[in-house]
Amino acid sequence: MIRINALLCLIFGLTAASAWALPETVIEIRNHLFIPQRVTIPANTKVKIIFVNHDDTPEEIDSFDLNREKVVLGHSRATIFVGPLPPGEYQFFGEYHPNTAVGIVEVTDIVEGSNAD
Amino acid sequence: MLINTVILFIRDTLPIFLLYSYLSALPGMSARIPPLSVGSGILLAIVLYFNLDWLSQMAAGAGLELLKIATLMVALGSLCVCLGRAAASNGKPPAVSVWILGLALTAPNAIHFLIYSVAYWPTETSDFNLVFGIIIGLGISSCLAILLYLLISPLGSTKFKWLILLLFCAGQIAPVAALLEQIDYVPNQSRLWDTSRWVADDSEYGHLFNALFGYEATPSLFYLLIYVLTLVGPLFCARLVMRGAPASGHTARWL
Repeated sequence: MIRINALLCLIFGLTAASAWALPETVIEIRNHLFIPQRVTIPANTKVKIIFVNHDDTPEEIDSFDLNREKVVLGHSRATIFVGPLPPGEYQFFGEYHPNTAVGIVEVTDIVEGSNAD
Repeated sequence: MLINTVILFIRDTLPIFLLYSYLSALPGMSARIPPLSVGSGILLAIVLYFNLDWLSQMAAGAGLELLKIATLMVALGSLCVCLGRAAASNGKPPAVSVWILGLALTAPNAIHFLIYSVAYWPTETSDFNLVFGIIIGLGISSCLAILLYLLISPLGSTKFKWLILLLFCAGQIAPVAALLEQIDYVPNQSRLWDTSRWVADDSEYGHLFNALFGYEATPSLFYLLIYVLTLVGPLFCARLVMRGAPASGHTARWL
């Protein structure tokens, strides 16, 4: 039993350690809008995107390009991992407000313009 | 909001309606089991909804994904039991396994629409649009489910009915791959092919094919692996049961 616990701690520890080392970018949701609407992340790198919802209502982040779908409850935050991706533009939108909540993840080779840090 | 409600209703609840038709069309299925299993799934989704705050924050924010993965794995297990036991009884599955299968496939689909409808119910302009959106979505989903039932129910082939149920279940369970990628439990996979030029995921046909058999325009290797596993696993269980069972006419006839 102790061995199993130790193994689980090791697995979760390694997962957490690898997640902490990743570049991060934060996107806020205010009045059913993504702020910023365009984020730039480095190509061929895994990136942690944190959505912080300041609205009272939930939002469901959806992206056919990134193949991601995540519910962010009101006054809450949610994390998704994307990449490694080739350079290009990847659209995402809020399922509950598709007319206003739209955004783009721009994946580029140029590191200087990156929002992820 | 009206159009969006209709789209969300169809996207989230069409698989539940189709599941109801597939289960109803299974041989020897009691009329009580499909409504009972779908109803239980909706009930489970309601219970989960009221605990969503802490559930979604569990495991560093991966709680909802892990819960959905666990539920879908239960569905896969019950599908194996269904087909294995059905192999020994002329294609008729055990009621308990069908009930669990229905419950486990309904809950992950129902919870998304529940989040939307409960959250937007009290807002000022949404009442009318939300109600009408649900009515229209209900009409479209019901029509498609009835059509599907009328198409598959008269078919004499038990093998075909199980095959299309397997395809449907594979489509419902395979998204586990994307969920695992999203929470960084498996590395992001490159896409095997891209058929979005012909049928895009966000098109009407894309949504319909996704609900019917899990169509993905850009599937990953892991998605395909889980899809094939969901198709082959239950068939393998049925073969094992048949091999162990004494040779009889009925088992071989339908599988």
